[in-house]
Amino acid sequence: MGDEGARAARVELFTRMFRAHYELVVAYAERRTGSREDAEDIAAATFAAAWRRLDGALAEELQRSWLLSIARGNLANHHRGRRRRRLLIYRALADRPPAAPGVDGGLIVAALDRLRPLEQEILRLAAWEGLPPVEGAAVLGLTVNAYNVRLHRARRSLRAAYEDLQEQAQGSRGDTSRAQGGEQ
Amino acid sequence: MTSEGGDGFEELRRANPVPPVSVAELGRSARGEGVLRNIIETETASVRPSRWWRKRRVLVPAVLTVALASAAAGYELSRPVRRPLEVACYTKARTGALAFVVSSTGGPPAAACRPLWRSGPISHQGPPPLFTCVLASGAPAVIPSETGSPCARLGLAKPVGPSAPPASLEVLQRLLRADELRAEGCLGITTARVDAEKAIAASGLRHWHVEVGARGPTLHCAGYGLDPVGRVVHVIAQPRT
Repeated sequence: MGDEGARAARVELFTRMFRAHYELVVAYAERRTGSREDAEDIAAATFAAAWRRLDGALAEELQRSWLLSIARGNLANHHRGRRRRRLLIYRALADRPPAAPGVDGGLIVAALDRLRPLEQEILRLAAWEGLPPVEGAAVLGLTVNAYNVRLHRARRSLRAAYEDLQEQAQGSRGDTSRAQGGEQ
Repeated sequence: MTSEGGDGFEELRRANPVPPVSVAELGRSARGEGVLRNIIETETASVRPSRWWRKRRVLVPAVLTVALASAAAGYELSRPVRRPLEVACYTKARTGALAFVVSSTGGPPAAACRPLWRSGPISHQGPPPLFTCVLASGAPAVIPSETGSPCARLGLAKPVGPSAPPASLEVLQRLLRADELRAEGCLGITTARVDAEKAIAASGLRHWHVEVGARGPTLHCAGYGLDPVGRVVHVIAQPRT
């Protein structure tokens, strides 16, 4: 196969992979940034990197986890840049940081935010991306065994944080109703 | 507190801020097609280095890489493998190259990677010479190289001491894997707990214990997770596979 033929095959392979996974990568990034616009930028950077790294055929069952592992790196860069920009704004406004944009999952999301970053990511991959352990492990560069252990621990931490928040919420509701009763 | 005695996982699933992408949404999207065209066309232009500055753009990082690699080569590090159950199989001798993490086969780390070079996903032609280095995490990294050991060149340590997991750990891993396979789709959680305790005893490992994870309304089956550092066999509730 000549250079032109090899390039045409590469374009065809990449195009198939792009069309099968573009929306999935955008959704993955939007869940973590709360912004469709930022998510599309991250997806574009992810596929540009994938195009540069694509050496040959990649088995279909490996494509999604490979792309999400690249997106994860781009997302980390995005967060670093965003944090720097936010810090400047906070200094200017001398204000408290706002809540994460576009995410409103109530107590359970607040419980998720209390966990360590790797635990949060494992739970998001399993619950939101719906990845089976073999793919989640590939995204994070872990063995399936290590992934399962960490997922197990993350679920335990989530449960503890969730119950803690539920108790706090019930306690504050009780305080409010007692205060209202006292006023009557 | 959590619904139906679960661990909050189902609640988290329902709190997904972006609904799962349906099959109908996959395929062509106007914005996506623009991105696709842009990537392919931009890359076509950049593979023709017709101007001197395009060459320089490549040359500067290359010189830096060589300088860093030369500096790294001065320090011949060696380190024991602390995480022998996980082997990172690298596709290229380059930092940041794609790697597949696989479970150890019990032999030398390179033995766990060779099948990926023979029958995919890395290649179908058989492996080039493979060398074992040690990552900062303590896991072995198996890296292809035609020019001798790449460890120092990449700033990685060479392994010292045995790289393969101890025989007793291998026995435990094999027993648990066999138990999962025998169950054909669904290993009961109570059975898994008993089997895990028997497997620990049979392997001769001491001070190990079993922990059973939270069950959910759809999680009736069990899988095993091994934590050699904490000496725990986790019995993990999961849906039927």
